[in-house]
Amino acid sequence: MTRYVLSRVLKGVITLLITITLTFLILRLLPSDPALMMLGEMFTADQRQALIERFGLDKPLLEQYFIYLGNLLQGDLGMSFYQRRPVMEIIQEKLPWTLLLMVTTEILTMVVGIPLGIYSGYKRGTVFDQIVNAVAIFGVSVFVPWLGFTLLYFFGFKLPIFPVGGAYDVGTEGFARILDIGAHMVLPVATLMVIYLANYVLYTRGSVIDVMEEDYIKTARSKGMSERRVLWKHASKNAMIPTVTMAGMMLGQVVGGAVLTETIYAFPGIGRMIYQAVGQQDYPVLQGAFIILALSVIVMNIITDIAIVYLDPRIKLE
Amino acid sequence: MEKILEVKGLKKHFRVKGGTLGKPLMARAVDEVSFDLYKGETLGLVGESGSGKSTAGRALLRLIEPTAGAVIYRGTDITTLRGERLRATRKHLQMMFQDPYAALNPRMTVGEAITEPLLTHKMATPREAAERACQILEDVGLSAEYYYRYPHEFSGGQKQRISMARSLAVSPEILVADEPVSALDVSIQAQIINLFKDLQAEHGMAYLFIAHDLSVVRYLSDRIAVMYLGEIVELATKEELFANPLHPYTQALISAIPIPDPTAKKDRIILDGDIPSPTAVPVGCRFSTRCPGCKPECTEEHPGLVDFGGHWVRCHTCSAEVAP
Amino acid sequence: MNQRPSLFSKWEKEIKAFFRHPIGVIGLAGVTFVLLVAIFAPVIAEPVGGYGIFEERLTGPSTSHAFGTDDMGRDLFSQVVWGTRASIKVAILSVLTATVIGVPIGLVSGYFQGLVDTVGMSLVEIFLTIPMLPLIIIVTAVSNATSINTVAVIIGLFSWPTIARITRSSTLQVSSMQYIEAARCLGIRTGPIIFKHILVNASTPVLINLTIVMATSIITESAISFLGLGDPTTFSWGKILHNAHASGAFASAWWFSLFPSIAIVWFVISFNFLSMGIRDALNPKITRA
Repeated sequence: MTRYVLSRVLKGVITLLITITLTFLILRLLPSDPALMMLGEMFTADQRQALIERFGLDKPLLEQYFIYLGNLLQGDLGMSFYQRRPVMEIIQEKLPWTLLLMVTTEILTMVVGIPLGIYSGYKRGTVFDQIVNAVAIFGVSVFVPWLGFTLLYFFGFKLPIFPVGGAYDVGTEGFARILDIGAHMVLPVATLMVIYLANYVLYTRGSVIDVMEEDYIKTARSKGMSERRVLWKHASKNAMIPTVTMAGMMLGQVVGGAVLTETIYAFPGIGRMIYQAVGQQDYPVLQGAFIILALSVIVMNIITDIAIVYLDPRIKLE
Repeated sequence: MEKILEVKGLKKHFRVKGGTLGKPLMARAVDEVSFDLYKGETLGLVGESGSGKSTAGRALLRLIEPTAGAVIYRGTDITTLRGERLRATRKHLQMMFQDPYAALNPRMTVGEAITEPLLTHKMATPREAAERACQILEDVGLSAEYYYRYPHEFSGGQKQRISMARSLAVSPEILVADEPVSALDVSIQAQIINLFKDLQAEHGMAYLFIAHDLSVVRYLSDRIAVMYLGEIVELATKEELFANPLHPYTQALISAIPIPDPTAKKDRIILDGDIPSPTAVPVGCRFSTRCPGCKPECTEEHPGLVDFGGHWVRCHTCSAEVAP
Repeated sequence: MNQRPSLFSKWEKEIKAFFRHPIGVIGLAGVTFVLLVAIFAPVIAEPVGGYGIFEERLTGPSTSHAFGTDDMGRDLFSQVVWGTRASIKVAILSVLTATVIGVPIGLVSGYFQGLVDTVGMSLVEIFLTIPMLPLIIIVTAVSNATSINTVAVIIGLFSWPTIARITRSSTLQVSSMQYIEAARCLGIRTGPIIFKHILVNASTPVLINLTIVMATSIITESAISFLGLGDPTTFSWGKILHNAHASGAFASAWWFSLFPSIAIVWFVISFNFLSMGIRDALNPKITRA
C-alpha cells in the first residue's frame, strides 16, 4: 500500500511538472512580445530595455525556465500585469471564496444526490425514477449562464429575495456578515448544484442499476434477505465505489468549475479572476491560476485513487 | 511417407504474476515437445485442460511466440522467419479454432472472409477469388448462395464449415484443428468430423487434431500423441495405442471412455487429485503425483521419451513392459 | 447469388435495435431538426449583421420579430437560426479533430500494447487531469483565436483523450477475439487487420463518445463565446448570451437570453439522447429487457 501511495504521488508530481512546463511554453511562444504587451507602446526603447533586463526577459529560454521553476517553489507566481502586485497575493484573496462556494456545493450535492440516485436506481422504471431520470438529463444539458440569468432574474430582480452580486454587502459585521454572505451564496450554489446534482444522480443511479443486475444480489434475495438489507448491505456499498470516483472528479473541479457562475454573479473567486484577467490580457495571472488549478486537480486525483484502492476489495496491488 | 513437419523441442513458458523480482514465476505450459508430421496423415493430440495442447498448437504456428524450439516445415525452420517470408509461409500452415462464434469477423460477409486470404497472397484476381470461394463453399457442404450472408445468420456447425472454407482457401498442407468440435452439439460433431475426413481425402492435407476427447480423436487419427502437463507422455499409432496403452495416464484416459452398453464390465481407473499447476511442475516424472504405479525413482528422475519400435513412452515403470 | 449487401446490412442488427428505443429516435429527430434549420437558414431568416434599427432595440417577441430584438435592434430570430450553422460547424469540426487524433492513438495503443500503450495512455492521463475549460480559455485568449473554426479545433484538441481511451479499451477487447488471431494466421498484413478487422468492430462504442463530444463541444463553445472570447463576427448562441450579459439587458429583456438558451439545451439534449440511444442499441442486456 505504501508503495502504491508513493508511486501515485510520484506520478502526480510528474504530471504537475509537465503541466507547468506546458504553461511556460504556451506563454513564451506567444506571437506577441510579452514585454511589449506589458508596457504598451508608450515607452521609449531605452525604458523597454531596462525593464526587459529587470525581468530577465532576454535570457535564453532554458534559463528562464529554471528561474521560473525556482520562483514557483518559493511560491512566487510572478507579477500581475494589470494590478501590479504579486499574483500569489491575488490568488490568496480569491481562492477562499471559490473554495467556500464549491465545497458547500459539493457537500449539499452529495447529501442530496447520493440517496436520490440510489433510491431512483433501486426503483428503476417507476414513475418516480422516470421523473428523476428525465430531470437529471435535462440538468446535465442546461447551459449555466442561462440558468444563472434565469435565477437572477426571478429571485434577484422580479422578487428581490436574494442579492444580485458579490459576496457580501459592505458595512455588515460579525454574525450579520456571515448571514449576508450566506444570502449571497444561495443563488450561485443553486446554479452550480443543478449541474453537479444531475451528474451525481445519473451516475449513482446508473451504477446502482448495474449492481442490481449482478448475480450476487439475486443470491442475497433468494437467501431471504429483506429488501432493505439487500439495498444497504450489498447494493449501496458496491455502487459507492464509482461514486467515490465521481466525487473525486468533482472535487478536482473545486477550483476551476465555477468560472461561469462566478462571472454571472460577480462572485469574487478564482473563476471570476480568470475571466477578468482574460479581458485585461493579464497573462501572469492566467498562468498562476492555471497552475493552482492543475495542482488542486492532481492532488484530488491522488486522494481519490488512494481512497478507491482502500475501499474496493477487488483491486489487488502487486 | 513424406515427412513434411518436424517439431523439435518446442517450449513455451509464460511469465506469471507472483514470485520475486529475482526469480519470476514461470508457467511451463509447453516443455520439450517433439514430433513429426507426415503428408496427408492425421496426428491426434489429446490431453486434459492445462496439458498445454492448445498452447503447443499455437506456438507451432507462431500465433504465440515459442520460448524455444524449432518447427521445420519442408526443410525451413519457421521460427526463424520474419516479415514477408513468414507471412508467405503462413499459406501452408493453417488453424481452425474452437469457438465458432468468435472465430469469424461478425462484420464480414462469408464471401469476404474466404476471398480475403486469396487476395492477400495474390493467389487470384478478385473475380477468380469469388468463383473459387463459391467452389469452396460447396466443398464444405454449404450453398454458394451464402456468399453475401453474415456469420450471425448461421448455426454453430455451419460456422465451423465457414471457418474451414476460409482455411481451405489458401490450400494449406497442414491444418491445426484446436478442438474444432468441442463447442458443438454431439449430432453436429459427427457431421463436422466426417467433413474433416472427406476434405482430407480430397485435398491431401495433414491434420494436427487437438482434442480432449479420445473417442473423437480415435475415428480420425492415424497416430495419437497424449500430452500431460506440457509434455508428450505417449505417442503411437491409433491401433497400437488402444490395443496396448503403456503410460498409466493413457490407460486412465482410455478407461474413462463411456461404453454405450450397460452390461459391459468396466474397470475404471480413477485418478487422484487434480492436474498440478504449470507453475509448480513436480520434480521427476510430472505424473508422479497422481500415478497409481508410482515408484521412488519416479519422484527423483525425469523420464525421457523412449522408443519401443514406433511406440514412444515417457515412463520409468514402462521399460519393464516392452511392446511386442 | 443474392444482391450485394449495403452498409445498412452490416449494421442491421444494431440499427434495428436503435429504432426500437424512443429516446434515441427522439435524439436523432432533434439533431436532424437542427441540421435542417442550419441548411435552410437563408430561406427561413435574413442574414444577421451590422447594426439593427436603433428604435427597435430590446423589443419583445412580436409579429415582425418572432424572438424579439437585441440591444442593437437586431432581430433575434435570425440570430438564433443562423446560430445553428455555427453550432453545427463547431460540433463537426471539434469531433473531427478529436477523432483524427484520438482514434489512431487508441487503436495503436490497444493493438500493439507495451511501450506504445504506456506512452499513449500517459499522454491521455495528463490531458485528462488538466481542467479543460480554464485551459481552453487561456489558450483561446493567448492565441488570439478569432475564427470559430479555430475555436472548434481547439476544443477538439482537448477532447481527443476521451476518444482515445474508449477506442483503446474497445480495441483491447476486439484484439483478443479469435477472428483476429485467425486473420494473423491467414497471413493478413497488420494494416488491414487494424483497419478492416479491428476498427470496424471496435468503432461502435466510440460512436457513443463521439456524440457526447458533440454535445459538450457546444457547451464549451457557448461558454467561451459568452465570456467574450472567440469569433466576434459569428453569431453563435453563446455570443448572443454574451451580448445579453454585456449590455446588462438580461435583467429586463427575458427573451434575449431565453431563446438562444433553449437552442443550446435543445442541441445538447438531442445529442445526449442520441448517445443514449446508441448505447442502448449496443447493449444486449437492455435490448432484451
